Amino acid sequence: MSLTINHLTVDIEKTPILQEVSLSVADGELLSLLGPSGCGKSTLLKAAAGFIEIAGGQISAGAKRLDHLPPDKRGIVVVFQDLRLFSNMNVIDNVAFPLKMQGMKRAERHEKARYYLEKVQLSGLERRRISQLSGGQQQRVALARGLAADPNVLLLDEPFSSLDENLREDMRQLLLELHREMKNAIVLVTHDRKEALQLSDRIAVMKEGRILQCDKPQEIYKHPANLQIAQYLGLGNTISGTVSQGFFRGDCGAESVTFETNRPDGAYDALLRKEKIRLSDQGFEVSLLKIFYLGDTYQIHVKAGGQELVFLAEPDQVEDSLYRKETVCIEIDYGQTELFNKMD
Amino acid sequence: MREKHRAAKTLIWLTASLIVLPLMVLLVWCFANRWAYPSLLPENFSLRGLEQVLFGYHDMGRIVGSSILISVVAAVLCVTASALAARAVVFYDFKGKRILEFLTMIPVIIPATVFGMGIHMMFIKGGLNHTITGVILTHIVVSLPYGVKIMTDITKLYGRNLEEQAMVLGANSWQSFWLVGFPKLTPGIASALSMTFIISFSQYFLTLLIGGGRVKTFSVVMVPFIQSGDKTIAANYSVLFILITFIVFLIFDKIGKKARCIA
Repeated sequence: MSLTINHLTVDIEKTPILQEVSLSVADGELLSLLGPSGCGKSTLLKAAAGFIEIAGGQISAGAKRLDHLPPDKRGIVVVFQDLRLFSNMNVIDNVAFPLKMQGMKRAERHEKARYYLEKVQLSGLERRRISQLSGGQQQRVALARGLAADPNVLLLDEPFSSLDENLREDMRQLLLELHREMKNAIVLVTHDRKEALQLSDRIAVMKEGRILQCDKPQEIYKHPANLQIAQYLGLGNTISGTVSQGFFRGDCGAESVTFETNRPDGAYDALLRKEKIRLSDQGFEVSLLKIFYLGDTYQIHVKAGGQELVFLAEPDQVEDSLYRKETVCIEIDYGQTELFNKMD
Repeated sequence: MREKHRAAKTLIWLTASLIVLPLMVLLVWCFANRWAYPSLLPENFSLRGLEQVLFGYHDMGRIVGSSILISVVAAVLCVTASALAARAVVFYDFKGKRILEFLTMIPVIIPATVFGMGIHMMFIKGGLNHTITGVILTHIVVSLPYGVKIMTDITKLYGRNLEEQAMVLGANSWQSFWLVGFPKLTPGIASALSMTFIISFSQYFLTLLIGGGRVKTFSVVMVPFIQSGDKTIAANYSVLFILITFIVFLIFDKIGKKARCIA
């Protein structure tokens, strides 16, 4: 195990930020920490690296306890969101810095640094000053420097958040390739769910200082453990309602959503996924609220079952005339609609 | 827009002339023998002022040298203490932190004469009276608020971010400070060194009080001539004073720029 975190509790100025968080990262795994701002993911990273005092719990790498070790002895390297490149050194000295700390001689560490610079496609820029590089180039230097340290675990704190979309996509691809080649364990902190789904071997969804679910991306997508996770991943529409004698009925009165279920009676939230609703001439009429053009799809908002529902439509299903209509016809597939107990 | 440019330019020229014009008058006074109001230029010129300054004291060179040395030592020690205090205050929380911050600012609040009297008595008891060590210590104390303010500002500016990054990359506490944190502080250090140097170099009352007659610095030699009313000699001393501080500032600045690129 590259990193194991057990029941970690962290307080900052008497406010609990992390509450009994347990997590493990296997050798060669890429784990994403996904969650909204303020959920504690950056705090978890800093505690693992050794910058914050922990109130309770253990951090270990295999059998070795890490919590009493200073940051330079843990085998954990962090690439911070603000990159923190050393502006008093040029590019190659930045990348070679961890090697210099390991005691490598100049010629050898420069050769190794050149190898990592080549991996991030920055060959030829060795002698440049940091200020002369573009944002994307600086990002790649920071990544190369982190990899050059050859850490047990590489922690990336929202590393691509300041880049434009195309550059982000390039960097994601680069990260995947490097990960396959180098096989370090990587923990990626992000609030971007597409990024987490695309890159991870496993995703840990965090909220308010706790881990809600930790599983493979496909598993979380198909079987979110609770409504909060489903809502954070933007999986679909939430319908509040009750199950009574084998039928779920929404809370919005006579026109509410209704379908069969074998769940016991009680109060539930139903997750109606976007994929289960579609435009259809054979369907029933609903009021059209908004249409958003997204390029490869349209996002359509309608009022059905007494509440607003959102779903997607293909470009060839939508004509310009749709914008002027007041109603549309939709079909809803209620099969296997997930129900979550309200207690969650 | 052009009017704003012209107005700004005029303001800058006006401000610059407020500094440059008196300096020019000073330079003329250096070579003037008699210059009575309302003449626009001196009646006659002579080099007697220059002669007095260069050859008046037989050990003028030594006095200048040791004055510079005293002030450089005071500046270096003061800035070191300031940098350490700044680091403690910015990075750590401890009991009495507020009190410490206030204490470092007290020399600005309490007048030098009041402070001088008090420390004079302490030094007599402690055997530091009339010694160079005593003089340097008092210079450090009066320069401390400036050093601490400058170093606190620049320490706050960069924080510990870069040092944290260096540590995860394998650097221990000292390495991360020296290789990565310290280079970022050099502009503040150069600035604080210059500031504390000039405060020390221009001390008259305190040096006279604590040094007695035994510690002769440039200011101690210069001020009586300024008070004497002989403008020619006073002007020569003043220009030499300005020249010395200017050169020292340049050296500190150069060292600061060099130090940023080590490692």
